[in-house]
Amino acid sequence: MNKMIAYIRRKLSVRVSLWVVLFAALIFIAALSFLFYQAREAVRQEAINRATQILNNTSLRVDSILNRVEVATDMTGWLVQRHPDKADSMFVYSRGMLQNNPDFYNCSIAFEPYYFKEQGRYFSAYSKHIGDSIRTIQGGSDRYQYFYTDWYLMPQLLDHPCWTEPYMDLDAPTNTSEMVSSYCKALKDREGRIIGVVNTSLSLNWLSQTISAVKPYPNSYSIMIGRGGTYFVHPDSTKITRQTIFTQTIEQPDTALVALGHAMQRGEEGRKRMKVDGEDCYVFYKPLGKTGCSMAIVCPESDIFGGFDNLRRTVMTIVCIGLLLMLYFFIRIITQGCSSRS
Amino acid sequence: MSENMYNTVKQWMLAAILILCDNMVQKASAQEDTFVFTPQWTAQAQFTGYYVAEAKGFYQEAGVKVKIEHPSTTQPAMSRLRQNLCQATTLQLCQAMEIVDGGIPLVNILQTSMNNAMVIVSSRGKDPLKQKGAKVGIWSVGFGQLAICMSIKDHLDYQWVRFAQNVNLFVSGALDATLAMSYNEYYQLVQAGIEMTDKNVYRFCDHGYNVQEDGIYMTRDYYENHRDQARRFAQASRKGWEWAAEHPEEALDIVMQYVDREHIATNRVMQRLMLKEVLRLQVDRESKKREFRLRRDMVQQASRLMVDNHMLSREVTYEELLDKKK
Repeated sequence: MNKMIAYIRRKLSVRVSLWVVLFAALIFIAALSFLFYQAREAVRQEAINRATQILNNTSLRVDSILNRVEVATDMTGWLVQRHPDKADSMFVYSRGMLQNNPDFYNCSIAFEPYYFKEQGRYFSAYSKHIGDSIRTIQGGSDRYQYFYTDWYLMPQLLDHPCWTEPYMDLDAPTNTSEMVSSYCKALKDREGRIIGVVNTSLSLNWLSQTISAVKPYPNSYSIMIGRGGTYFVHPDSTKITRQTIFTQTIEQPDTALVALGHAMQRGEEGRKRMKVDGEDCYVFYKPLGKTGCSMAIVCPESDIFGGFDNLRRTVMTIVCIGLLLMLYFFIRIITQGCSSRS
Repeated sequence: MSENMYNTVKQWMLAAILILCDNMVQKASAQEDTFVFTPQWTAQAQFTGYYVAEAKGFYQEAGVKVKIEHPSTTQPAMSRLRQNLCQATTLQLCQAMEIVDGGIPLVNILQTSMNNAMVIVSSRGKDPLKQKGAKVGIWSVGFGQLAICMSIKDHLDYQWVRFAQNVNLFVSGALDATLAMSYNEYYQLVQAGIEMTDKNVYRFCDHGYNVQEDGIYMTRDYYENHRDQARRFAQASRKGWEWAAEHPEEALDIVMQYVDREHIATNRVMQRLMLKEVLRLQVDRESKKREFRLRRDMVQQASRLMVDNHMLSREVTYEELLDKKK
């Protein structure tokens, strides 16, 4: 090292060349830094716009189907309240709901205990699609006391129609189950007393598939959580309905994930930059209609800036090689010039 | 050998063979008769000891052929006992006293819980004791007697809203507060992102209501005719719990097998927290030991509370809940 410093001090050509290359390097660094910063911002904004657009499109698709469920249920509720004393008509209404809306999962019109005295304690006109046909039965029993279920209680307690948290609906006769969410509306008599609840369920399989298919980048993925933070869409299927977004933070605190979970629960829309499974990611989130559910797209930074980072490394390599070549040629030219003069 | 002596020996040998055969037949028939046990809720770490006893063969060693069948979330386990669909079930002490008062004599063959696990969780960080007239969630299958007593005694006039399961009503904002078990719904709320503080969580055990809960019960009729079976089942169950306390992670593996088999939507973190809390509740506060016995003072306290608040027509005594021949 000392020899090199002594050599540089002896050689004018080397000193001059070094100063020129240093000066050029400073200019390149300043210019390229500005360029890369602006380019990175542009890439980041493009990613935001892309993810936001995908979220909005998905949300619109979901909203349109949810609205149909809400309108159809409200209409059925209106029909029931016009003729609340005709038990047999309830089967016609619940069956008609499914005949007119083949993509709905089931419909039930359930009444308070002994509302129809001759029908007993439980009376629920329940219809469900079974293959190409519709099964209509009288539901409710000691084994399934619907009075205590979420879909029966929520609209009464909240005093407005609402969507339940997604749940696995078990169909006892066929022993099959499907993840559904139910839109439920309380039924009242002319005096305003609660007489029952009409409830229409929508299978969430199509929603899961739609959300899971959202993949703006190769390693990005989507999740959906309910009001309680429970995962209903997640690339890790073992977490679906079994874990919430807060579960892993109980044993391994993660303030960023907790903050994200709370923001999604509050129905907020936005984005966060955070570490997910040890990797830096951007998470874009948006609520899904009035369901209380929220959807998020997780995009690893390595995916968003992958192409940009490769370009940056290539350009820096070219610049470094160019500066070294410049140094070499300057030294040669100056040395030759001094030699020819002497 | 004289003829008399030969006959005597022959008679003794016959008697010995008969006794031996009788024991074998009894044991064989005891094993052949399936003993159906219904815990009071769906599959979860709250019943770890029983799962361990079945999986580890403690019931088999005791000569009891046990089948564990869980109830549905809207049908109480006691209704299965009434309909003879099971031979034993777990009940909370207050619930058992209500049933006895209602005319169905029960026998406690094993007490597992030594402490009260019930809490009230209020929404929006409020103090449950300051929410007079609040809409409070309570299980539809019959837990919560102490909470009803407390509401009457402290003039809180809660409006009870009966729910089947989970904490969705509370999380959705439909309730002002909800009852929860410190080993179950409490952690469901934690997992739902609800903040738990001393202000919004009221623990019954810390406010003079530390009454025991879970125990195994049989109808007295069945018990009187199957004492030996009941004793063996209780001993094997206790062994299961003691093993679980010494091997919590292995016990958790067994629990997860049961919850997966029953398709229960839960996770290992939740079940680990539940098991830890259930095991903690089995330790008596005074002796610091896992006692597995019904405490006379707690039975008296619960009985008086429920009579004073018109939940029982008369006091149910400690002796009524136990084996009268002891």
